Amino acid sequence: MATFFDLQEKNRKKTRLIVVCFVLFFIWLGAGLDLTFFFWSGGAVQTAGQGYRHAYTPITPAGTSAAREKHFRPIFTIIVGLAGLGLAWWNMSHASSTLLSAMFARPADKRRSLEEQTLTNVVEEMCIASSIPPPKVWVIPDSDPNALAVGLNYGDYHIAVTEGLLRTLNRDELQGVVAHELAHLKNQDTRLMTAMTVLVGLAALISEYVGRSRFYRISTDAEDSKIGAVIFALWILSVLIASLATKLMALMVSREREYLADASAAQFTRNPEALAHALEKMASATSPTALVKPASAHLCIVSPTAADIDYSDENSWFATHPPIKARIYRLMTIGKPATGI
Amino acid sequence: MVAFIVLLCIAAVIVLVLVSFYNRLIALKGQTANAWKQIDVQLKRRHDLIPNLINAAKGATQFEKETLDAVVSARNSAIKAGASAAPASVGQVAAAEGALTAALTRFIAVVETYPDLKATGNIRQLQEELSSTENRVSFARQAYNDTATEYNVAQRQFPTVLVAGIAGASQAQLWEIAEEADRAVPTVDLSMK
Repeated sequence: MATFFDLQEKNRKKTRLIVVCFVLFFIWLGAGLDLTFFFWSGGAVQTAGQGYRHAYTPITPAGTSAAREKHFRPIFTIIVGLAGLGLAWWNMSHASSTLLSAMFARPADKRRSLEEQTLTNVVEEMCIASSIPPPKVWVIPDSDPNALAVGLNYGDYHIAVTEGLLRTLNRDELQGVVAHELAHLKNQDTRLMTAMTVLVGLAALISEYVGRSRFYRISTDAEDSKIGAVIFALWILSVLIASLATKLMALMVSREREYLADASAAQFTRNPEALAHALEKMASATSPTALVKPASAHLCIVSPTAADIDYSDENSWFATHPPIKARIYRLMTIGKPATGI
Repeated sequence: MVAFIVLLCIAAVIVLVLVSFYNRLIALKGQTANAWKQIDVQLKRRHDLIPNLINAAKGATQFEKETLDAVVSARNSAIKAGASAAPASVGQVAAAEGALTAALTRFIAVVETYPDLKATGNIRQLQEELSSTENRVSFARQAYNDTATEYNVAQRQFPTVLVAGIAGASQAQLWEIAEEADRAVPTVDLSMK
């Protein structure tokens, strides 16, 4: 029996692993530099009597002191760590309002129409089912059916659906979609996704900077600093592929999270078929969700560019969402005997 | 001396781990109690909604009087059962609420057969509120059962079972349908579209 509890547990484990890799990678980003300078400065002490003939010496921290001892100084580990923290904090404190206003979202009003009354009711029902505080409900004036959740902390929860979604889905299907979005909030996916976005941005920034700068193209004295050279070479390599790797990992997290939210939605509604039908309807509306920018694509329940409707395994590495067909299949098989997906 | 310090560290770690297990059980206990209260909140919401519903339906001519009366009397007995709710009378509350659900289901079925009534914006809004309320009640029960199950499992599962006694944990009762009639799937279509 594949219950939703099993699915949630499996997804959580995978995501935890990916996040740990992320963190380790960023520590390596800083530590690699530190280790390199540590070993190189060791070489500098040995050759100090012969004068400053090494071109790299000026960029070594405090490298001009000839008589100094070997000290390991985690300067770059700290700098990279702090920069990451700062960027994360800045993004966290601005994300929700920026995203929502960029999509021209307006607050849902119970008295405006029966559809919006139903929407607010469904959101409140699902909050009871999922035991989370009610989020603010927004409507995006876009005719393509889509939905997304934004939120960082308890008390800063937002759910936005498009007008097209309200028109297209019936009550049960809307319930499934809302449950999916609430699951993202409850599992703190939106928070995780913001963190991922920050990490990708930071990695790309570093990668680009290192790629353009020339400070690593300094010849090294192999006798003095073999270990340093090896570590530095590894570091350069890892930084250069950082942008790609972090992007891939972020997307992998995003895809896993969609499956997890689907499973949680099934738990909250006890009606996985309704969400499956909703996904089918959203897939059949092929027009892109114009008001959702590509940068926020991973927040949506289905890809706003409709890229998840029909793609093969090769390019699914670069997708923000798992294929809709795979999600529908998983939803339809919840609670049924496993057939080995 | 070193051995003593190592032993002390190990003991400290064990105590910290036990404390975290204890806290997890206490948190689950609180969540279970809260989920139980949530059911009451939603039942009250349902009781408060019914007078509006009756007023809107009365406006329509020739509306079946016995259906309305059934809803009103079921509501009153449900409120009475809820007011006298000592923990022992959970079964009574469940039975009274079950009767109210049945009466409301019939009411909605009747509304569906009155095209004029159904077309009225007012009654459609009330109908939406009513379906929502029914959903809220059942989702509150579902959330209670989910939380209580997690609590019950944690009490018996290793390692939290080690501190279950200290945390004063006891198995929470799940909300179950008592009446055989309630188990039957209603044939009424409640979907709004």
